[in-house]
Amino acid sequence: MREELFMAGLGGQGVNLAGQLVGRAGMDAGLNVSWFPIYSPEVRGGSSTCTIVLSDGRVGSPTSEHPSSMVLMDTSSAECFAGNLAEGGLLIVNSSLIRHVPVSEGCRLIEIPANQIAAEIGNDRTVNMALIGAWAAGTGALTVDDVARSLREMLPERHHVHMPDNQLALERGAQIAREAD
Amino acid sequence: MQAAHGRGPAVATGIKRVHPDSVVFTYQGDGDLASIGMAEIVHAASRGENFTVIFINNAVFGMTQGQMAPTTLIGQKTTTSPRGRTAAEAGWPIRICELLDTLEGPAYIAREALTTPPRIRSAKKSIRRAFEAQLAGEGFGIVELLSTCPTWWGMDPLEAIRHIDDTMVEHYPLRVFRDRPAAHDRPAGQQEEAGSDA
Amino acid sequence: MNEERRRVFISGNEATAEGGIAGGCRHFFGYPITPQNKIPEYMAEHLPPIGGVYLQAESEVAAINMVYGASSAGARVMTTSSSPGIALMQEGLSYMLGSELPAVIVNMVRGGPGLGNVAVAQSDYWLSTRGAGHGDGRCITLTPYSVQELHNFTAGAFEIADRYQNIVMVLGDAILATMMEPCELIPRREMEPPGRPYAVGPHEAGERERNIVNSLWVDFDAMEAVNIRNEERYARAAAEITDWEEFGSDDPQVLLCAYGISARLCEGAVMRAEEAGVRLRLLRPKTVFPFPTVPIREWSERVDAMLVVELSMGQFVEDVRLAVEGRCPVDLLSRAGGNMPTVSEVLAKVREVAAKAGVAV
Repeated sequence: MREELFMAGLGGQGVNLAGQLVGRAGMDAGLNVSWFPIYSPEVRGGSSTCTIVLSDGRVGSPTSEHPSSMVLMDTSSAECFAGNLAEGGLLIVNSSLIRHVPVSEGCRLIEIPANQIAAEIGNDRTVNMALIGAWAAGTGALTVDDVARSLREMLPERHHVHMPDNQLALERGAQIAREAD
Repeated sequence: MQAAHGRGPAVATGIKRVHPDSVVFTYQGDGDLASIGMAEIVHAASRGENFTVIFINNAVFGMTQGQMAPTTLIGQKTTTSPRGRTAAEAGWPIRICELLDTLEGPAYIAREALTTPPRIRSAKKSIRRAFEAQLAGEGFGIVELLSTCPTWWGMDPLEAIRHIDDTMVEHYPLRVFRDRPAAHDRPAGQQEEAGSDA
Repeated sequence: MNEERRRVFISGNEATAEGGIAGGCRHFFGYPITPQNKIPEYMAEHLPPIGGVYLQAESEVAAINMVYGASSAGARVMTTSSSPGIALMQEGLSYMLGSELPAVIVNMVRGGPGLGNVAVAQSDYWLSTRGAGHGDGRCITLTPYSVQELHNFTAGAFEIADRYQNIVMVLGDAILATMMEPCELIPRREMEPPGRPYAVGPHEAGERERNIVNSLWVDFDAMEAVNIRNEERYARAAAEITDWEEFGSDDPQVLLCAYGISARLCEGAVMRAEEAGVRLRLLRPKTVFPFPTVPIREWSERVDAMLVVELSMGQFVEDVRLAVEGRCPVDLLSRAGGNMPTVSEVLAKVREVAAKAGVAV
């Protein structure tokens, strides 16, 4: 098993945190993982990307030329990166912000209205969770329960009050992904 | 011309000695000037190098993302003083203007704060005076500017401005410490005039 | 003792800092520089509560001299920095080699020369392996290639430094520093009371000769004796601690040589070797001083060609060529400035090298 996930979005959208969650959840599920960030020079507002490799063998290169899955959170990320997806890969986009994205033949596209989901939950910091939920269900690399459990472990105790919101966002995203398949 | 961290005064010395008629200034933060570049600033000031130093003091390392600076106040939390700076662990915050005021070399030393319009106007006057001193060949001038760093102080901009006016100026009084030709310009054997303050 | 090791998901910087504490280090002196700031921040957070000392020096020049002082007083001590900061420390490193003192230095290498940038690079290979400041003396240099190895190698570096009374340099880079991976934490070793036979410090009158730590040897023979002792150390280290890992085909046509983050890319290439149609093996040094000369020499008699991959313009390749002594062609794939070759580019270069060496691809 080898999954190469590439995530991109605007600074402040929680790209890196969501990526770290996937890495952490992969570790907790007994896989070898790496989380590799590239920062743009701006602390905030610039684009933010990370690559997560999950493998039951060696990780090898922590970078990926053609990721097997992608989570893209804003229009400029969709324009820049969608074309790098591997043949037969899974593309998950935040359809609240991304109106159109070119998809190569043989690739799967799942559109998640993540901002809308977060707004319905009433917690705008759950945008990334809706997308990660969809990624988990869409790839089957990890279960939504795996991810939720690891999130609880990762979060400092004082943030545990947000767990129900996060869990709800994960599940909404996963549900849409399952229906899309 | 980009100097290495803290070495601005040394690089400026080299430039000024080659081109004495050029206006030369350095722009240095508190980590740069008061920590790694302390040796360079003290010796440049002591030599009365005829250039101007603009010294931005916001009591924190901003570029490396919020570590303790030598000017960080007692009790101030930074990423490397996570429980707040204590004198027992890290010593006291350094007052650069007062320190340089012990030297004969400088012609102009002032501390200003970039907070209210009157204070900003006053800062502008001091900067002008420091450059005039350079143009007149009077020697080394430094203007310390107390500035905000909302990001690493964990404050919003208005709170940060108030923090300077309410707290920082207690440790760093606003003052023109010196406004006179460099001591080495005075004829030898002559008594220094009483009161070096302006 | 609880031998169950806690597995955590942490950055290379954090793993390095915790590795230092695990290795018994309780004295840390440093100065902020990107991309390794998480290390001093971690030390500031964790050392004081366990009775350790964290001090932010006023410069790297000062930091390394504080390390010098603490080491001469017999403490397990470390500092960490990145390329320009390591350059500033050269004076202090040289004095420590001259005084035959142990210390652990971590360099999270970034782009250069000059101010460069804060992206990944391996361009301090010579700076690390060829000496430390002026004079005859070398840094024992370890080259981890994962977050786990940053942790393990940093922890182990103190034993090596003590065994040879020599500086040990842990050579990381901007990616290893910032990337996160699972890491099994080594239990924290207790601090040893500072009281080494060579160290200065309090002692009863007549208990021992007074120790003098210095690097000034006016007498020619005394100075030469230091140089000879250092060379003997390096010969012993070569026999005792030279380390490397190999991965891939048992009957390779092309041998890849790379260390650190480049070895991760090459590992990826070996995993996809069938795409190149070439039997491929990776040899990655875990120590580059001492250098794994012997295995590289042995492979040079059995493979058609070697390919070195490094994020510098041809530094590490020189040591490979010295080991190979012309027995087979040694080609180089290098990128710099924050750029890295992709695994596909490594494989394309492998095909080219193999074709040049007459391997049917």
